[in-house]
Parts: sequence; C-alpha cells; structure tokens
Amino acid sequence: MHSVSDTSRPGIFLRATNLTKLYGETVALWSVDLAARGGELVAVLGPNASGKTTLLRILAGLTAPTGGRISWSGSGAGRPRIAYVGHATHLFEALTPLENLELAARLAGRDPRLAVELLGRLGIEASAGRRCAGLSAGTLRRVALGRALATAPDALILDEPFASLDAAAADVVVEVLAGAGREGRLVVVATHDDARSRTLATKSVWLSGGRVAPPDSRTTGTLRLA
Amino acid sequence: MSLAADVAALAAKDIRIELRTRQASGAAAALGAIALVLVGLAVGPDADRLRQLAPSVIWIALLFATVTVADRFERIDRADDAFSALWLVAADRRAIYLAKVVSLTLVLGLLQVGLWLLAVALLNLSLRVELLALLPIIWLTAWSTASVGALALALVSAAAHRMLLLPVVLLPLLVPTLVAGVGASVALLDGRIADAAGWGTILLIEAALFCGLGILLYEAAAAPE
Repeated sequence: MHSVSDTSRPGIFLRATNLTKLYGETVALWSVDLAARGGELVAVLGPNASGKTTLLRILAGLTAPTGGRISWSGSGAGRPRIAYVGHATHLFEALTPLENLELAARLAGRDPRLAVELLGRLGIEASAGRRCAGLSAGTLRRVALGRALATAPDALILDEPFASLDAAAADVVVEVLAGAGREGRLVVVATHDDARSRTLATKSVWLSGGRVAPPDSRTTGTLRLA
Repeated sequence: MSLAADVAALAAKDIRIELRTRQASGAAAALGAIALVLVGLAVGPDADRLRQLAPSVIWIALLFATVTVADRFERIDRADDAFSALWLVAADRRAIYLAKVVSLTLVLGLLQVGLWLLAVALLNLSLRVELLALLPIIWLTAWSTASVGALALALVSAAAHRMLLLPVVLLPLLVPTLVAGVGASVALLDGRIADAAGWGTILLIEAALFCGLGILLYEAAAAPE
C-alpha cells in the first residue's frame, strides 16, 4: 500500500521576517513576521484585501517580496517542496483529474498510482476519468487539493480551500488537511471560514490592511488539530 | 526523477492535450494552407514561378504558424495558472523549457511535412528522391524554431499584451532559421545536395545554440513576478 506521506521530509521550519510587498505606493503587506514548523496548521485570517493572498504567494515563492526575508530549514537538500493552491485550480482542463494528479506525482518523483488513492480520500474518484473542463467548481477545488498533495509537499499553502464546497465536501477537506498536518507537513490556509479554521488551525494570523493585527474575538486562542 | 523523465512527462502532457483539442495544429495548419492557396491564386498557373516561390512561401507560412502554435501551447500552461504548479513541483525547471521544445518541435515538424505535401499539390512541385533529404532539414528547422519559440514565450509570458509582443520578439530571432531553411530547401529542389548539406550544418548549429541559450536563460526568464 502506498502512503501519501512516503516521501515527506519531517522537521520543515519556516521563518518569515519583516515581509513587505508594495505595488507602487499601495501597501499589500507590511512587515509581517511568521514562524511555523511541519505539523502545524496556520490559519491566515482577515477581511478582503487584507493581504492574505499576497502573503501566501510570497510564502510559496510565486511573488517576490519588496522587502523582508523567508528562510526554510529542515527540508534536506535543495529547495523545500511547496504546493500552492490559490484562487485558480492550477489544473490542465483538457486532462482528467487522474491525469493531473499522476503528472504532479511523476514530477515530484512519486508513484503516480498514488493518484487513485488521493482521489478516493477526497471523495471524487467518480470524476477521475472525466476532463476537468466539465467538472463543477467544488469538484475542481478538491482535485486541486489532490494535485497539491500528490507532490508530497513539505508545505501546503492554500488560499480559500473551502470556497465553492458544500458542507460535506468542506468537512472532507478539513479531514484531509488535518491528515496532512499529522504527516508532518506545514499547512497554511487563508480562509474566511471561521468555524473550520477554529477546528483546524494550531496557529492563527490576523491581517488587516496588509499588517498583522491583534486577533479579534473570533480568532483568539490557539487551536489544535481535530 | 531525472531531467529526461521530467521532460518526457511534460512533453507527453502537451502532446496529449494537443491530440484532444487540436487547437494549435488545427489553427496553424489552416493558416499555412491558406497562405499556400493564396500564393497559388496570386501567381497563377506559372509552374516555374510557383516552383521557385515554394520554399520561401512555405517557410514564411511556417514562421507565422509558429507564432500561432507557440501561443496556443503557452495558453495551455497559463490557463487557470497551471504553470505555477509546474514551477513549484519541477525539481529542475529546465525540464519545463525542454519539454516545450520537444512538443513544439514535434508539432512544427509535422506541420512542415504537411505544408510540403500541400505544396506538391498546389504549387506544382515534383516529388523526387532528393526531397527525402528535406526530412532532416524539416526537423532541424523545427528544433531551431521550437528552441527560440519556447524561450520567447518565457520572455513575454508575464506581459499584459503577450499575443502582440510574441511575434515582435519571436520573428526577428527566427530570421537566421528562415534564411538557412530557405537556402537548404532551394538547394535541394535544385538538386544541389552539397549546398543543402552546408545549410543543414548551419541549421544544426543554430538549433544547438538556441537550445543551449534557452536552457541557460529559461529559469530567469520565466520566473513568476
């Protein structure tokens, strides 16, 4: 039996210091610090345009910060393996979910047969052979998460992973993310879903206007894995 | 996973998508065929003149078809930001470039074969044994064009007006390939095999040079933001 965790690298540690991103004179992010390690689930919370997506893209290495520094340690040789799912699905729509996951697994040096197991865990095995172009938004969100997990990432960075999902599907995603944390992966999630972030997160960061703000009453407290 | 295995997996993805959608090859083949038909109509039934014009017309049609194919291939990766996922997962990002070169070479090579066959029918070219020697010229040209095309795509991918910029960046870079390709094919049609071999050598050097440059520059050129 293959395991999704079979090539994980335990002990990943992220330290982001003084992260700043300016678009012209617009401050998207200002002097944000964050430290987290594998196994933690970090919820990034805040209203629209608070800098959540910018922070996540910078952590993933897809957007260069204007200032500040990110260091990853404990990932062994080479750069850490980071999987990111943003507002887009990052899928090839002419391929099937199975083909998308198999490709991701192959490129990550993993057994592509893991794709079937992952689709089953996400409850979308029935859609495995259909082209992504014909799938619903909710199904595509789960396929996107499966593609990210197929790479056995050290860090899993997700922007609004519960968007477009019904309650049952969102609960499946919560369980899969909790499982990723138990496997030693660092999971960073930006979400507006307070209830699920409470269930899931071991650490919360509240952003407002691009700055880390004191947590409001809805986000206080350190929460543990479900 | 080795670089070669990554390249094979990514190129297979491009080819599989192209076989399903036929967007790149369909649009490029239509463009090339229209160019040949228009030249045939414009020149009229002058067999010698059509034969003289054929190589230039085919290569120019190919250049514009290259822009179409390259753009379509890039859209596959950029649609729904699939490229970001590839960028993060690829252990060696040169694999993304080399895979694009492989898939573009395959499509452009097959497109050229089709254009030459169409030219035999429409432009009154006679198929002779020497034309078999066109095959290595076709594939060398396709490799050179694909190497430049994949690098040009990386250079313009983040631009707001990518489709406008692509031909501006790509076509001047393809001039050496155009000159050598026309030279080789004219020499072959005239039965000057030695001359064609000389042009073929130039094409080989161009292709290797462009591909090497692409390997060196790709990661810096394609890096997100």
